[in-house]
Amino acid sequence: MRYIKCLFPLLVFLVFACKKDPEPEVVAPETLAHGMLVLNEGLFQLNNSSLTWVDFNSGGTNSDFFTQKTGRLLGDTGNDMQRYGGKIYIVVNVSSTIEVLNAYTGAPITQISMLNGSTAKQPRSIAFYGNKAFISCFDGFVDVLDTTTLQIIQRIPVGSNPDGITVSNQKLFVTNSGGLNTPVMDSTVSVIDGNSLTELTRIVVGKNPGSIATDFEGDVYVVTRGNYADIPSRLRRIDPNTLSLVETFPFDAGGIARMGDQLLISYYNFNNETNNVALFDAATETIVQNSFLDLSDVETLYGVHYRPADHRIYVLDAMGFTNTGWIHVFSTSGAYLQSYHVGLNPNSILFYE
Amino acid sequence: MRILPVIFLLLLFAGPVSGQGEASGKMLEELEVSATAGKTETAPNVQRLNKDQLKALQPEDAGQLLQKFAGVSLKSYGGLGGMKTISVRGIGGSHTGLVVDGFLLQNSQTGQIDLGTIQAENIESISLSIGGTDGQLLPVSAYLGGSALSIQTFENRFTIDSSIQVRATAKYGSFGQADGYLSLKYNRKRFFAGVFAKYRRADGTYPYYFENGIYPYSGKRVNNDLQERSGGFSLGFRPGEKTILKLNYQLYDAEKGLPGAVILYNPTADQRLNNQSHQLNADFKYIGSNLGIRTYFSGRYEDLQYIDSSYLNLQGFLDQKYYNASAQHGVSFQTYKDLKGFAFLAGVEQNYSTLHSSIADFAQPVRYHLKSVAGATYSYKKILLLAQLGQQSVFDHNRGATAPGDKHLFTPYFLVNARESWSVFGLPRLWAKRTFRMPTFNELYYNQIGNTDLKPEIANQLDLGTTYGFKVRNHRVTFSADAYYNLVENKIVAIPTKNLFIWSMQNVGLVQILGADVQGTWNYSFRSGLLLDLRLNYTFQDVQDISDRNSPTYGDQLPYLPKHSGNADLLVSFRKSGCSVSSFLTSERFALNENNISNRVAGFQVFDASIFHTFSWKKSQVLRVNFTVKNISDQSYAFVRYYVMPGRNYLISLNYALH
Repeated sequence: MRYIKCLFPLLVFLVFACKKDPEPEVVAPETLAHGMLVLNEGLFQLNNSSLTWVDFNSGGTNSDFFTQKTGRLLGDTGNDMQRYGGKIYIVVNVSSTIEVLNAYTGAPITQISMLNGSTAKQPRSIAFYGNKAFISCFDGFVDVLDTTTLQIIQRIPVGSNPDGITVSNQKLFVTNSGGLNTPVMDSTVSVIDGNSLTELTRIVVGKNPGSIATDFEGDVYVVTRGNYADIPSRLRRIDPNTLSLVETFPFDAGGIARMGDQLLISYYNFNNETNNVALFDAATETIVQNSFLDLSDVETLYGVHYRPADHRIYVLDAMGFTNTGWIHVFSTSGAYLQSYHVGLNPNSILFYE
Repeated sequence: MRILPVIFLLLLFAGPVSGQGEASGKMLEELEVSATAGKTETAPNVQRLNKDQLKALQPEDAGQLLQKFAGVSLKSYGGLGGMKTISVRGIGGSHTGLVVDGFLLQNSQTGQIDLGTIQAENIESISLSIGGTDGQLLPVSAYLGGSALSIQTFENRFTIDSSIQVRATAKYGSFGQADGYLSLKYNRKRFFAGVFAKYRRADGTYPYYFENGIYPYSGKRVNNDLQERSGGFSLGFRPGEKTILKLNYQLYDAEKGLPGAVILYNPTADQRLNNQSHQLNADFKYIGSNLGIRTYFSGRYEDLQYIDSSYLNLQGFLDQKYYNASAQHGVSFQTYKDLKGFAFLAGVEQNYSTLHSSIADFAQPVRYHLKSVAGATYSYKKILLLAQLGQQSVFDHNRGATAPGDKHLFTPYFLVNARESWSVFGLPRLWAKRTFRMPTFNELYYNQIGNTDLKPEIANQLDLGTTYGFKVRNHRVTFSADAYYNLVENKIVAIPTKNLFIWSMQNVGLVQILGADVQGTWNYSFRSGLLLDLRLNYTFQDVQDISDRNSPTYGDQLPYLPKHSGNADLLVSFRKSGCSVSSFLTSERFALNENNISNRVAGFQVFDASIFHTFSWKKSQVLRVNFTVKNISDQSYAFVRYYVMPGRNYLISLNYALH
């Protein structure tokens, strides 16, 4: 009887946690068509960078694409993804690798380790010219990769913490951010000759240059991000022939995406958490519309992409950087069409028609 | 195996031992200890590990002991030297006060003391009090926290059972671990003086293994070494029968590698942390038969140096220094005499803290924090009622820059507790407490991550529980269960992003915690000398983010808090030998706010076991030899995602005591 007494105070708790409905998952297709491949950056030190396959027919997604194709994880902080010829190149910053996949199937081709002895090169972005890929590395170099042999053949020293990279007039334009020297930072763009593989000059553009892109007529546009305090971000234009800064536009900018002969200038304001996409005419070099898209449902704007095949704009939402992101689709007239749920911090898209 | 250091340390110990052994027949416990006996009615939720249990566990540091308590979620960032922080009942670790020998240890830069830096060799007793705090005449801060971890060390107390006491420990373990600890204490009736020193080192390059998709991924933890030195002295005087004066000082100095998370495909790790702290404590106590008064002072100075030798800036490295100073002074008062059933406590305390850094443009914050508490208990027949009110004012300044506004907060605590058993209901209790913690200097000012608009994080706790115990012949059984509902307002959540030391602030907002702690102990002692001691703990906690109904994480479990966790510890001893087995289990957790598959961190269960034998001479000298195997099943597990913990590892320890 005394033993039974001690059972009385036993409090039993039964709590039924309500599980959320899982999203419709599609299988990773054998050959990639009519869909898009999205690179999700993930977060530092979590090895959770991933690829999402979005099937345009069903609207279904698969955020485990890379692992299903390769049998392993992508790694930590995928910064850039580009297609060149028959290959997809994924630049993984913290893991310090370049993952090369077959562009038609997504099958793995090779993984290029970007270590310099015991120091990680920290690759950031990739651009192509001829049979070479040019990879900006945060350790102050642009690595040249032979796209046939998939070997690094040269390291070209540039400014500090090179970030964005673009091609124009047989030259590569690399933004030297100097981001790890805060508050000093760099303010130049390195110009590399695509044939001789040497740095020709450094153009002073403004503090903390980041995104860089080439318009339909070869003009190079660069965003200088300022110091996030008293020096504001600005969009600037470089003449690819004279290799000089020719114009500074008096508005805030974050990212640049090409849309035909226009540019989409995206900007996420960290201070008041507002998003904006402006439409810019690259021929007349003027703003067409200041607030081009209604982004009231976008939490953290993380870039825009234009898909020529359907004339639509794909807006990346990083959802406060810690929640899985969304891609919102808009028409070129600015009307919202639909959304796809993708992985953590989506930053790059490859479209398949 | 290099056994030489062990032999060397053994020889060292032999020195002071010879010729001693005169044991005082009369055992005089310290005044404050006897005053505490049987007076835990105001602290109904206290879990304690005693000397024997501690010896069986052979912990490396205080942090490892915390997984032995119900309601605690431990985060450990690796093996020896890895940072360890806790959360009690789903509430952030900064709500838990750390009280060592009656003095509060605090760090205003990070808000938490790394429990991996608190040595365990000299711990005589460790207890975790949730709600009301166990102990008498504590620092005012300890009464006002959500919970308190109290440690009583060997060095800082009167124990007049012999004039000279010695404690020495030598440990030798896997991954290049070697520890040595020596403490001497001279006791007189009205006086004690002690000195101690400790050294600990480890290579820390342990192998790890986990599955990367369908492939195995293995390697060795690099840059995980540790060198640690500490030392200090303690003095105690008893000028009169009712007065005690104490002074102690401790130096801690460590250099260690920060291995970081295991980054796939990138084995490099070059970050290091050097840390030195000085802590000086002094107090004066008057303990009469009717009332007790204590005045206390603590000063702490800590410097932290963070180095990244492969940082990709122009210099090619990063070297940042932080200097954190704090001082605390207060007076506590308490009545002992039964004033028609009433008893009272009151206290006032002032805290001052500053932070400086070698970083250009870094803030220069100064904080002045005033705390006061007043409470009364009323005992009537079988119940005790307690009402306590705390008032705190915080004044933050930041030289020439934005600082948070002044804060004034009241925090109440109410308790109804049974004094005698209520038949089948055991000793029931019901309590409610409101506490808060201030944002830390890092949270307020750290470069772009800091936010001077952060509000104090408020925790409301409501607890209903009971304790039941009985004794049948040689069996002693205790059982304790609590259900609780906590609500955390203005929750400040930190998630490590770039590295261990740099966190990003998230203000999750509102957190609702529904939980239960269940504890059971069974103690069996047989006349032949057989002794069994079993401890079982189970914790359930549903820690929901309920800040924003439209957020994708609404209703999700907060990061790194398991729904289920528990531990079992069995100690079996027969006369001078024995063994112990312990197991710790945790269910899955999430690395980020969103409860999806990619954020899942797998649950795990680990087993440790140890065997020991005790040799004794002349009744006053004891040498205990312990052999411990940790993580017997060689499980690959992690508290924090990709901070893979060591596999199976071994530890030999020798504990010598002269009583």
